[in-house]
Amino acid sequence: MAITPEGLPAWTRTASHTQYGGRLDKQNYQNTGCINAQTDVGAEHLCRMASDLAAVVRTAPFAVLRVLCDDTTPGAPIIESAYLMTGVRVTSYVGDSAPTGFPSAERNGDGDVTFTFDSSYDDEYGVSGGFAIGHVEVTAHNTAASPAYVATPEADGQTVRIRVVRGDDGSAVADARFTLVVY
Amino acid sequence: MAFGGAFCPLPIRLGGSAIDGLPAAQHARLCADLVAVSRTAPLAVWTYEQIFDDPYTVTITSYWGQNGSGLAYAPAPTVNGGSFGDVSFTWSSQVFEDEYGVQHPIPIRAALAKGHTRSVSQKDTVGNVELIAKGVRVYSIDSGAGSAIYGTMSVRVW
Repeated sequence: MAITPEGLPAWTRTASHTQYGGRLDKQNYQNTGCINAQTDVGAEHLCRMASDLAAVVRTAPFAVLRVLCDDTTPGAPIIESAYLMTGVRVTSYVGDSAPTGFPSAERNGDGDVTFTFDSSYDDEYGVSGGFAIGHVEVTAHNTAASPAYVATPEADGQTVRIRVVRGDDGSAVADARFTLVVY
Repeated sequence: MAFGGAFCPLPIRLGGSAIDGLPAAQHARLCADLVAVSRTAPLAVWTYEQIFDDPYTVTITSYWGQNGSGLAYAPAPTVNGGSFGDVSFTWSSQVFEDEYGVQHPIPIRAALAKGHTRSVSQKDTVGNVELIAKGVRVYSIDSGAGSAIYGTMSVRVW
């Protein structure tokens, strides 16, 4: 019989130490602690693990993408690598041919792209958790110390738009590359 | 998890009460969420300062990495171009090792760099990054003037 994990997946940000086995009144069986540190795991160890996991689940990014705009063709941007809570892909894909479970992306103009994430994702056990973009960070890649490439996000629900421009004159950066982190 | 009597040896047997046991459903949630955050957790995060004057010394003031916390685990900075605003950070080895001696390569595939502002009137310090062998190159640039700028930057890599 398949097991159904307690609680909702990490990206719902609802994690509690209790769903990992923690309890404020957790205790070792018959109040007898670990006898041999090489073979025993105590209630205190489990509670520390549960508490710390809940802590990192709250702040871990949902997705980390490295993206290369394709303004020469022109075409949809290329997602060169994608780390998602739900899966990792280190081989590139084109934004308008996104593999299942990975965000799609479309080109709006030079250095201007929009990503679309699903409204829910399933964990390894098939438990579904709703997703909406909460926070976004982005940094443009560069190969020189000047000019500055400024990448700015605009997020709304399941979509985030990234624009990369030159800092000195505001002109769009063609074929821009950037790292995008979505929470 | 109660094995009986006065000991609870590994391997753990799932089950038991919520007070002194670990039910399978909780263990499964722990496993799923741990894998999830492991996929997106940064490889390392650090903050550094670079001075204005020659030799434009770079000092890493804080480092937290999957390889360890503290400056001993941080990458080594290299000043590029004989001035400030262009710094490379590289680890001598492209391999991280965990507490059990298990090693694995750390190909860096993404990076963020953010500038700290020293004063309200100072224009934004923009961080740009370039992925290089065994590390990352960070450019700190005055966004408006387009010129290199010194100061404090925070960097994260994946």
